[in-house]
Amino acid sequence: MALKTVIPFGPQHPVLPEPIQLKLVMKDEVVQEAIPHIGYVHRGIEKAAEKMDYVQNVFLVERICGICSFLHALCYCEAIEKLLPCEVPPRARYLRVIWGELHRLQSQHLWLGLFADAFGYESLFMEFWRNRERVMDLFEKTAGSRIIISTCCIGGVRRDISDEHLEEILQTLKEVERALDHSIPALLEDYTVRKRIVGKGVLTAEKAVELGAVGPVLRASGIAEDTRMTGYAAYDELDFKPVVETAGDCYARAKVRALECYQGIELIRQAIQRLPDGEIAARPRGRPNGRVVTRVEQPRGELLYMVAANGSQKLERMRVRTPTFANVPPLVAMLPGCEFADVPVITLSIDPCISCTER
Amino acid sequence: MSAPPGGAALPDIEACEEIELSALRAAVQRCRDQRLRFITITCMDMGETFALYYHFDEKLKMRHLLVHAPRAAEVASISDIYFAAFLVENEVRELFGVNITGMAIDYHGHLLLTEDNEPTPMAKVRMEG
Repeated sequence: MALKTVIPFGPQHPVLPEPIQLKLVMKDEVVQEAIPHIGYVHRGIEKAAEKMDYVQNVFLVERICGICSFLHALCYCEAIEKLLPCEVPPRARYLRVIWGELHRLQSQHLWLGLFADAFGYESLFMEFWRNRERVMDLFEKTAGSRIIISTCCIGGVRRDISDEHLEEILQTLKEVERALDHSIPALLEDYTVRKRIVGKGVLTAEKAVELGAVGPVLRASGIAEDTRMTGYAAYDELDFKPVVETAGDCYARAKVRALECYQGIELIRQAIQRLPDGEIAARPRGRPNGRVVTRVEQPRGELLYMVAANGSQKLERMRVRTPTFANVPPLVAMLPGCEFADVPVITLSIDPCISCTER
Repeated sequence: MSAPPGGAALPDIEACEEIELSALRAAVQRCRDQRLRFITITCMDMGETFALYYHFDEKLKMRHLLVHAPRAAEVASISDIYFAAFLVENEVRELFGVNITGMAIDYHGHLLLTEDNEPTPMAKVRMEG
């Protein structure tokens, strides 16, 4: 009779750069149950947001996560702009799309590299990360910083992008696209890689909705939902269709993220082509009053902010629901029945960001 | 507009249905039957009560349920209806002290906090005991 064993997976593990623990109840080599544990690096940012000025909070929320800092700021600013109210100039809305999609592009590269590394494909990891550097250099050129770019502000954006830099973005995107053409087939068509990821960690469409999955995890299960379809920033003026796969396994999740790199490049090109002239920020008047919920699509999925304000400098409440927080219950459902050797790959397939989760 | 007991009247979020605490589970079950995706719960400390917003998504349109729970009231978990709620319910109980009972996975107050932490750090009024 096989014994049941509990194996603590994490919080320190070679494939997990951030601390999350899964207590795996095993029977031989097969996972029976997975219980997630977080809380190792919780920072109390929601509480801190009640102590700070609502304008200072833009800088605070950017620090929830370096990988998607711009999108945290964007979601927060959209909430405050609705409460003021404040109309963002068209040029600023397009610039928000450009920086937001560049963030998605570098984040998906980061994940594609880490995913390759999770099953031991180190040269592919290096290829994706080398390509990511091209995008990071664009942040440095257009915003003066590579990680937390701090270009989003209440009422618009803090910096413009010059014509020279817009041209440079377009040229760099051609190089990024060429490199992706070279790297992505190695991920999606390689026999050995497919053996490691096809049919692993399957999440059906029904389960994905039931368990509250978001982002590429939801779309890889066949649900065509992407918060960008709601038309925030300038997405309502761009041609956009979500990337959807139906198999619901690790391969499908990898494919959605890989194709979203191309989609992001195309959206940036459209935004640059249609970028209107004019102001980059409106001057907000008054103080926020009321309650509002806003959502944007982070690289990992739907990000939600609920802001409650009472007309003073400080907010009554700022609530943040990050995509990884939503994707932990689906992960818990994906693991039972899988082999222990597949746990790292399946866990990484939700692109866990514990920095976001432990806001 | 919402004017919860102990709280100021503020323009509330759109598509928000205010319900009695006793009707919460039935309302959540209806959401499940309509195949709404559970997003999260937001808790606000209103003094005498907690305002609990249950957020759902219906094909990219949001729907919200709002419940005002007296501080000592028992709030039944919805994690048997939406398993995804277990994490946020544990979080709300730990950070605010909302008495949520019957969670699918119960961390007994130690999802985020350790024994050394002060209890209910997000609550504006500290719970006793």
